[in-house]
Formats: sequence, structure tokens, C-alpha cells
Amino acid sequence: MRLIPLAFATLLAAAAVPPWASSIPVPDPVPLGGESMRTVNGIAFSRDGGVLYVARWVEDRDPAGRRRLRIFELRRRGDGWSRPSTPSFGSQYTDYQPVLSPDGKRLLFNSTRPLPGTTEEVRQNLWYADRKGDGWGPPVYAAELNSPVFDGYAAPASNGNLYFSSERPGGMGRNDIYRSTWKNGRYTKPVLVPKSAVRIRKTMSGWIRRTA
Amino acid sequence: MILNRYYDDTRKIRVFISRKQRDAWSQPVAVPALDLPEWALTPCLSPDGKYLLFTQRGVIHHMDFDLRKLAPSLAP
Repeated sequence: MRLIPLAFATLLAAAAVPPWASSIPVPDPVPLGGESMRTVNGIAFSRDGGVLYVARWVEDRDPAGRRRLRIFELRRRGDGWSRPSTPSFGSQYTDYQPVLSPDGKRLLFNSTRPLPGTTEEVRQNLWYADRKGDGWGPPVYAAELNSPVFDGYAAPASNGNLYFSSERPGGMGRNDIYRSTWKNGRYTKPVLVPKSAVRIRKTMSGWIRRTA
Repeated sequence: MILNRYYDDTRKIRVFISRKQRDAWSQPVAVPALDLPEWALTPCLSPDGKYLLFTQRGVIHHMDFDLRKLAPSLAP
């Protein structure tokens, strides 16, 4: 009888270990969960590793004939993962590069969906959704961050500030890294991060753990 | 900050790391350990900051985020 609760506790402990948490020494990376764990870009794990957001190709095509990317949600089920499902903030347009804020409460992504109040598909902009209960609130167009050209690849810091990639004029390369601070509940005007693109034409931002 | 850079001239993509020192970001440093035959793309850290996540041929891979081995000049 004593073995049962012990075994159960062991199972619970195993389930609580995030899927990435096993030491893999540099320089020999290994697949995290087999060949089926795929993404084109964006690897957004919840803090406990129980939910993963990825971007994958779908059959739909954009007006230029290119296959679209969409964001999918996968939930951990024992040793495996659920079938991919479309999150509530998804669209019929191209959505990709899902990134979670360090506290897991905001999910930012790139999207070609029309700006609010319009119907025409656009170049990539940054959008986000905030955690609401067990799901997500409505998708929000990050008006303060975006420009008429390419903006995307969000890298949120734990203090709310956001680093991202933009093709707007005034940088050093084709895609430069900009920073916007989160102040009084909104993003401020983005500023170029110096040195981010010296001599390099294109930069895509990654992930920032703690910074100002 | 972990980032991918695409070189227009050679059409290669490499992984770089930049570290915030005082108030400024360092010049990004290339990560030779991730110059793999299949490009390491969409690099990021696990939510606990201990592991490096990226894709090769679209498959998610992981490895220790060991700054001393990945970018020794940026290690504390």
C-alpha cells in the first residue's frame, strides 16, 4: 500500500520536469523530443514546459503564392504532446515567430493580418495577446512598435521592455535591433540598439532573460 | 541576447550572443559551437535560462547554455 503513493509521487515529479531540462554538454546538441517536435521559427515554451507554441507551414497560400505560416499550440501529455491546435489569437493570414515573455503572460508574434479597422493584408507587424485565465485575450496590434516596413522577431525582457527587429530607415543594416521600454502600461517609441548590426545586413533578435 | 545573423554576401546564417555590460550591449560574439552543417536557427533560451534551444532542419534541439564554452569572452 505504501508503494502506491510513492509511485504516484514519482510520476508527478517526472511530469513536473520541463522537457528541455537534461544536461546536454556543448557542443553536441540533441533533438528535444524527436523528429516530430518541429518549428519553422519560434520555440515558445510555457514556464513549466507544459505548453509549446511553434510556427509551421500550412497549405494555404498568400496572394503572392507563397505558403503561409501559422502558429500552433501543443500541450504536453505524459511522454508526448497533443496534436497541434490553433490558438485563439490565430488568423487566416500569415502568423509566425511566437515568443513568450519571461513571466509567460504575454505572447508576441509576427503577423501579416490587416491593421485594425482595415481589410488589406500588410507586411509583417508585431502583435501580441495577453494571458486571460487559462487562455488568451484578443490579439492586440502593437501600434507603438510597428512601422510601414518589416517589424518582427520580438525578444521581451522581464521588466516589460521589448527588443525587436525592424527594417525602418535610420539603422545600420537591413534589419536592425530596436528597443522599446514598457512604461505606464504601453510601449514607448522604439530606439535603435547601438552596435546591433555593424557590418551585417540582417539581424534577427532572439530571447532576453533579464535586462533593462 | 541570442540572435541569428544572415550574411548577404555568403548567404550564411550564424548564431551570435551579446551580453549586457553596465548599460550597453557588447559587440555580438559568434558561437563557433553552433556553426553546424545544418544551420542553427531561431535560437533562444529555455524559460529558466539554463538551456539553449534552436532548430536544425526544423527539428527543435537543446543543449546546455554554457557561456564559458559557447562564448568564452562573454563569460563572467
